[in-house]
Amino acid sequence: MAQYALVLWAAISLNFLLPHLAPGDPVDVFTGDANALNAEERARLRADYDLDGSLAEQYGRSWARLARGDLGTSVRYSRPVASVLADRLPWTLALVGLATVIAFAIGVAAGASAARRRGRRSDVVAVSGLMALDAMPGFWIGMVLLAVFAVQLGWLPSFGAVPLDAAPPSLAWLSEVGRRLVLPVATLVLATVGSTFLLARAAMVSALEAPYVGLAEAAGLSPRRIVYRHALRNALLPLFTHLTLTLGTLLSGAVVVETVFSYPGLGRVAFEAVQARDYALLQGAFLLVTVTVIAANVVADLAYPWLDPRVRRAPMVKPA
Amino acid sequence: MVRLVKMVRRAARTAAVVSVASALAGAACSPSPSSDDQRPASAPRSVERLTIAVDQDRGPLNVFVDADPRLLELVYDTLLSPSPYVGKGKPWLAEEVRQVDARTWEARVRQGVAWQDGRPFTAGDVAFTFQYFKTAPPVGSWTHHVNDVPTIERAETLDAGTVRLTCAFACPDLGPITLSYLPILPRHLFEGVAKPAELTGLPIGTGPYRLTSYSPTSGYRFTANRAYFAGAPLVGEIVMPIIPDVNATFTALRTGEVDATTRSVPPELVQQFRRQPGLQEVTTTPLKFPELRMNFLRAPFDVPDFRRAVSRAVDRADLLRTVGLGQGRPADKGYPHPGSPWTNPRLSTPTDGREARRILDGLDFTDRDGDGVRERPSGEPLALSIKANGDEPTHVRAAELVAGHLKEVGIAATVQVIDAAALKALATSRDFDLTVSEIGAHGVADPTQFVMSHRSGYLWQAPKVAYPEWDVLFERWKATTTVPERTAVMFEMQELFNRQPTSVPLYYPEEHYAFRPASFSGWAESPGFGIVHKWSFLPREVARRVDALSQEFGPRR
Amino acid sequence: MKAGARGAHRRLHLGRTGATGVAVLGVLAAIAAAAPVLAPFDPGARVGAPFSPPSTTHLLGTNDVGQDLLSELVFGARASLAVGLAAAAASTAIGTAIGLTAGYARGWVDTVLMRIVDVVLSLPFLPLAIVIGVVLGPGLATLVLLIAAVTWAGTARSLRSQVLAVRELDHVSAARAMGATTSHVLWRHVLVDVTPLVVPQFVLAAKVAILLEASLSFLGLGDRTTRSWGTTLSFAFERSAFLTDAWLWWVVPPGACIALAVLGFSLVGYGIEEMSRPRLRRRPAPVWQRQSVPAGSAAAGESAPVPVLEIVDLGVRYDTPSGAVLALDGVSLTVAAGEVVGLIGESGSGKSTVVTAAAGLLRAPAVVTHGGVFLDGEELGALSPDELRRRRGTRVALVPQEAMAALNPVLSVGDQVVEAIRAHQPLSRAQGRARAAQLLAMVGIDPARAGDHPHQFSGGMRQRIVIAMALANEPAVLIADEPTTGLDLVTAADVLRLLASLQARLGMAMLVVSHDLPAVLGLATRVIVLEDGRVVEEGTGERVSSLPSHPHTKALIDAIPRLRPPSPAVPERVP
Repeated sequence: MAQYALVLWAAISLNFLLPHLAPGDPVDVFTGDANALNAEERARLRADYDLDGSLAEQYGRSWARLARGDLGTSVRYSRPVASVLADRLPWTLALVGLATVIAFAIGVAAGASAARRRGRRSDVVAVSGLMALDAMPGFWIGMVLLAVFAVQLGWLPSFGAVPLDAAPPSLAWLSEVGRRLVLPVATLVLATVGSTFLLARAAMVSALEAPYVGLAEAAGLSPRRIVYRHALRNALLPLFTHLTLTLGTLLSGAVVVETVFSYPGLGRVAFEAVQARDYALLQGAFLLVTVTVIAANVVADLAYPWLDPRVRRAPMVKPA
Repeated sequence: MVRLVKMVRRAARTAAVVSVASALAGAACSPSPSSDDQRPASAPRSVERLTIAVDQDRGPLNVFVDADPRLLELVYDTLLSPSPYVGKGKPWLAEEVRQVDARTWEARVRQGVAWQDGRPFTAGDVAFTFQYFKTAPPVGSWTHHVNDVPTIERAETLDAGTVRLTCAFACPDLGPITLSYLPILPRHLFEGVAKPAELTGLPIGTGPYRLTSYSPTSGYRFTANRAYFAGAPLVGEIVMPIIPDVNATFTALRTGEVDATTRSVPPELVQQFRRQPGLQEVTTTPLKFPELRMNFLRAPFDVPDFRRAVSRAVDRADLLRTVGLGQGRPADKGYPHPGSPWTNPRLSTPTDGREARRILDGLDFTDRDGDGVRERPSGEPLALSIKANGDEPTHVRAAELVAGHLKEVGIAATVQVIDAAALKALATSRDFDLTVSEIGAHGVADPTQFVMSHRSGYLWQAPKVAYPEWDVLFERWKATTTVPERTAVMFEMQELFNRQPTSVPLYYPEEHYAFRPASFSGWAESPGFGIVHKWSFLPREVARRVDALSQEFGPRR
Repeated sequence: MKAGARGAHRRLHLGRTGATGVAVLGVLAAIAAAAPVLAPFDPGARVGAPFSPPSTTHLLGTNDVGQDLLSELVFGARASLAVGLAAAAASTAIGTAIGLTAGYARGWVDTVLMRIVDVVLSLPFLPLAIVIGVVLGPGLATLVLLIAAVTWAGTARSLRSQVLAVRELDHVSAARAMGATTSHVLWRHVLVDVTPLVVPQFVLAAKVAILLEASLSFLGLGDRTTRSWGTTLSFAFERSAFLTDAWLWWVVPPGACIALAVLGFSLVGYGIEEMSRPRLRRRPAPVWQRQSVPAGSAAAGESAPVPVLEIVDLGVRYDTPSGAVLALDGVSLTVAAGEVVGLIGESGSGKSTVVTAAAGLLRAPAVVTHGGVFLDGEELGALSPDELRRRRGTRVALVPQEAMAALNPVLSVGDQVVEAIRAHQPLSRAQGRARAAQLLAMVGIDPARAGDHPHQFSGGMRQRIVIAMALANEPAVLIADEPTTGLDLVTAADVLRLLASLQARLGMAMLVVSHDLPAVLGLATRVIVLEDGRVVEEGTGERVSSLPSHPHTKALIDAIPRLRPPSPAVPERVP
């Protein structure tokens, strides 16, 4: 827990400090292209936006605000940061969550089967194909999918998360939301499945060398059972750890895909907040991502014993 | 009688819907991609719904935040119309305005107008608006119109229908500029609000559209104000999804997911969209241009003749040809935009490398060591940096070209890219030699902003930085009491500026817009606003009455 | 490929994959180096009309200001590879320094450094990169710095754990014990051992760096004034190349170059991984390279009953990257029904190969060069994998070496026993559980603990559970490979007693394999001694232990610690 507190502190502080070091502040961005305000007017705006005083004072104030549970107001959107983020979070979670689950499932299944067939043609094809896929930049994959499926074939919508002509609770709305998820999710899956596959394959090869596999073979278990019940269960452990470690990257790395498909996600909003020097929004977005990552890590920590009985806090000897 | 009107209206609406449907069917059935395809002659001028992509999420359209004026003016109205960029304001929310004397204006407001929440609009709202802008936190382009040039001292109601505005010095241009520019705000929603930028509700105006929903995911949804005093809008509902990416925007336009966009078609796509079946492409003359700004506080740009030398060295034809792909005009008519009615038509800023070299030689900037780069009188080489926004590829390219032009006359320049916010921060830090950026209509077509830009540090920092010639002109300008007199002084100011410019237009671009004519055919250009603005959505005769349109785009034949 | 080249390959062990990667990177590096020669134009010169499609003069057309795209692509290799390599070098250097320091210093230094690493790893990475990018302003140096800043932590973490492992290596501990200074140990030993671990990290970082450069350029955070593949791509995107045909010559080539460079690094990384773990690429199937031999051709006489297990003149070779190793050179042995045979030999004598062959588990890199293994008179080499599988556990069962570590750690022991039963017997889950309870009870494990996991049992108990699994399908012959290794004396004796009593009770044949002569002598009626893949001695337990005819056997007997009287005491224990 102390670890998580430290992460939070570092995230908030870094994120306070770094944007303030960058040239330009919200008022500069805000005053329009003609720079029609004079120095006194700018000073007044800075005070209005709580941007006056030394860096240390502002840092103190930002903590005081946070302590009150107030994320502040976004200068760029003139809305409370909390509501700007609340609008985006579900979409990022849907996008990244779905993509992660799918990429993980495909990567692990393909990795396991390739490990089983290692050295054969199908394995060589899978390894080289997925390695090549892994080598392509994500935005490039997205662009190609967009060009083919939205522009050329017209099968899927090209932008956004929600339909413009259906309201939330309806089935039409839901199916349209699903359709709009297809391309972004597919892009993220294609961009990440390669590395999951290679990791899974390596973990499976290790697991297939483990003594319990020898024992299972000696007992005459079927190869399928050995691979999927014995080896895979064990190979999942390092993969699971890897997944939780890279969650932060996945969550924020979606910005590229969000850009290509104009998807209203957190990565994009953080990116735009940096460009607008919208300190409060940037800090809020950063905090949210960090908290989400920490939450995912906590969940992972709690789920790990379920995967690995060795770390369960069970009594060593059960009463007979 | 009322019933009859309603019936007619309903019939018209039905006809509109039918014609949309048949147009769509026609478009779908006709595989011919030729530009002069057989589109139904009656492309719809009145439709239920239109989808227009906007390029940026600007929040729920708060006047006190940097909102897109094209969207804002759907909701809000001004006393006069259409805009400062046309030259004359015609009665709009005001039934009549008159200049009582050099410093005083009176406006008789329109009766029977209601705010979109049902409250009646009164002269009190108008007086409040001007007072409020004077004391409210300053914001971008609005504030100087009441607080600096011109300075409105007092705004008061004379009776329930009349407002009197009193200026600190003569303000003959208050009508055509300020009153045609400032949105009139509802007193009942802004009174007592100290930080209007933090208002988060949806705006309420008197305008033709009400913003009925805003969300970053689904964008903006505007619903027609059927009771609009100037006539019911032609489009029942305008849906504006936010598509920040250029490629995605034009993909959506091509696939038909949107009918139009606030973005202009990039020059390199114009040919393509001209040929694209189902799309119509039109050319407009925007009031904006990319500019090369000089830091007049820093040597050698503090020398007026040096600035002229730089202006002469810039190869305007090359910039237009290479960066603007020839779409526009070379920027040889100076600053501000020649398309503005407030710009001196006799300005001339030709490219002349020989002249530039002659000026530099005369200023004792000569190449003494023969390396092709001139030295300053102090002996240091004349090496400068040009900063440009890395997000704007055309600006980076323009900067690279300008660096080449300067090299021709013996000035070494390197291009440095920074991000947009850092570029804007240079206004305060002034840590630059040259920048390439873009300036829009308010900067280059509003004469009061031209004066303001000399006071804000943008074109000059008067009166802090000495500029006696300017000060003389400024005093003369303030003393003028009629628009023609004032314009005459303005023309002199512009001549002075272009003799020793602190900003050089690089080319005057033309703009191209593309839309799906089968969905809506009422598009028209209003100066400085492109095609997406309220005049496209109002009955033609209404827009024509106030000279709002510079071009009308009927269906192509 | 020439023989010489293949030989060189073998020595490098990089394999075909890694070599392909090196070749790809080599070509790209050569293009970068020879850019001024290869590029048809100065990439900065405006030599054509803007947005020109490909022509004979401009093979890839021109960009938005009329610069030659092919030249831009060729020169772009320089910046892209430079950013990738520089960022990877910086990231690996920082990561290695931190990882080494933490791993070697341990204590509070380690704690503090690793906390920092954990924090950096948990921070959302791209927003951080964006913020840093904006703060420092665009530029190649910025890119290098920020890629390094966000990737070093992973390197540090994995290196630290590897350093911790290396630290405990014998020669490092010895150097420390001999008083070598810290820096000396660090440089001489740790660094030498760690270098092979750093290389893959570097390769990984280079791959990430090139991809990141492209992504950041796409987001407009690259430096548009430098000429890299990422910059070319970002100009292409910003100037709508994807909406026109231009993407074919403006987007595809730089994208392909990026993918190719990344793929090159991936392949090298994979090659390095393969090098340390040859099984990553090896086919797991065994290779049988000999004519079938008839059963019964061994020395066993006509009068002897049909042996349950017969190994006839078995020759096995291992093909390793460093050459072929002969493991068995004509081994023959038989185990009759109900008979207990001991197989004795030092490590490396071929015992394990005999066990693996007898259990039908031989696989590559093992190659059977001659002879065969017969189970109930059936030759294992002639059976399909599935037929072989059906005989494992039912006809021949194995208690593998280090059996206490052989159970699957994530499954309950009961499930593992049930599974072994149900693999061969059509029992319901409940019936299987009942049978498992019987088996566990038989080996002395409380059946109530069937739901527990292996780590909850002691080593001896786990050994018993493995024995229970082996007995699940009443095999004709049980092979016990080093059944006492790793157990303390008391537990080892318990296990041996258990095996003896079970054998007596079930009447199955047993092959006990060990380097521990007394353990075998206590069980076996007949003993076979193996040395260097050959049978050197065979006979009854008494004879072999009292009158060894082969010097090797003598040596084995002499090596027995005299904790108990040798041969005479043993026969008493034979049931």
